[in-house]
Amino acid sequence: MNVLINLLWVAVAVVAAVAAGRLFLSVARILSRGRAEKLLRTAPVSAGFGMLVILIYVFVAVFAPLIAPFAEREIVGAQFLPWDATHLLGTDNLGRDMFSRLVYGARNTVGIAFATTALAFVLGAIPGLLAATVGSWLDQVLSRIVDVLMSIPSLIFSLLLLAIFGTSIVTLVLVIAVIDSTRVFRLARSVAMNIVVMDYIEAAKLRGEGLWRLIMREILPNAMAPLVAEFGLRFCFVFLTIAALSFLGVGIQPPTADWGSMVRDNAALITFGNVTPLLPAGAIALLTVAVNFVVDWMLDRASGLKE
Amino acid sequence: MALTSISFPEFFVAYILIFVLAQSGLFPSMARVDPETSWGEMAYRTFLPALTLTLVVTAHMMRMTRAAIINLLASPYIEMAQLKGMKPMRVILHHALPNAFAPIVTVVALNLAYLITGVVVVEVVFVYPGLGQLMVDSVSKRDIPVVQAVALLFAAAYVLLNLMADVLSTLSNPRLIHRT
Repeated sequence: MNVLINLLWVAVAVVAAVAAGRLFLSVARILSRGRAEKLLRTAPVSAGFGMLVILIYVFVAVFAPLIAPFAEREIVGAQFLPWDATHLLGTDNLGRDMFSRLVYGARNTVGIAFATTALAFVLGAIPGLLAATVGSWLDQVLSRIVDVLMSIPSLIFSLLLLAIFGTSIVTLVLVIAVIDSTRVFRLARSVAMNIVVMDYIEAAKLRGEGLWRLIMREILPNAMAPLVAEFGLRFCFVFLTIAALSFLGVGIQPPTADWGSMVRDNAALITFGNVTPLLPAGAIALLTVAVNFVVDWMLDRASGLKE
Repeated sequence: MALTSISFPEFFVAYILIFVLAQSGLFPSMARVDPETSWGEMAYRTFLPALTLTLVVTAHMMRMTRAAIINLLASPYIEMAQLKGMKPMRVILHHALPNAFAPIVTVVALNLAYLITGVVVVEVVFVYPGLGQLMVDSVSKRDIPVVQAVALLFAAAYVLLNLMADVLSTLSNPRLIHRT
């Protein structure tokens, strides 16, 4: 019986999500014009839902202090208070307001994940393009270094590095950026490999274009589509890694509000049949699903795999 | 659907399972095992962690298999088979599957390698006294030698599984064996 009610809730959520996605798409189509409108017309409902969710997250992250009723680290009541009017989602294991921490968590977790992904792209894409363009020994050296880094599972490797360098936000960002940049390097290199052999690259070389200009003006614009899609996917993976590390207690350190550690701190409530600890985990899952939907649509558009 | 479940963090899946299954008293939410525990009891206690990992890996496998087969289905001989008037099931089983076998075998081996990392989080959720738990505890205590040893074990298993994936995919594809 209980399972049936749960299933009903899932069905209601799916219907609501589809409706929200469709509504957002039609509103966006009315508001946009020109190229953006043409682009939005091809978007499926799932991509519309994804964009809507991402926009909501960005909005919450930017205006966190205005939305949250209490401060991030303020102890406002007894521990594990149930949901009521003042504490919308109750309080956590130290008596801090759960809803406020969820809102601030959007800022911390998503912000750190975004910074890490950006850093990973700078660290991965430029050497990748360079290796493909220059070739010869530079390609060999960089590729073998990346092979070595990739032969250790990423979560284990980041745990190892965090154990060596200690757990702070800066080391967390650096460690995950370095580990994830290897994947970016592989993609950037393989995409650029196919572009380097094109005729117009040859022409550009004969024109006497320098290495930097060749990469920035000729190769990068043509490798942009897969790299942008990879940025979305990478963001998901980085986000999940950070959440997993925080969950294990070695990522973002308390008292900073973070979704991974919030799940861990309040996990005791689950055994009493309370859904509150699932909310931060659900927030993580919802964002990754949303990003995946948008990326899927972009990949479809770029590759034309489905007719 | 596969897309949705692939993007769930492992601990989310684990806690939902605890919430739904352990709440109703079907399975224990803690997987504490001792050397004295009997086999049946062990299987019963580790059911939820195993189910969590299965769900996570199934999502990965579905996605990768789909990617492998979707390209095959666009090739001319599949179209030919369809034009001959074969049933869709027969087209997939007799024409597509033998050629998709190599990527699928690779996917299975790669997923075993993926499990190596997935197990760390799941062990912590279910308080299973395993290598992953040991590693996380040592990281927070900054016990470097233990962390190094465990990381070495995990990495060795990971490399071996990846090697197995490569060898299997070469064996199942004649074009790769006879490459000069």
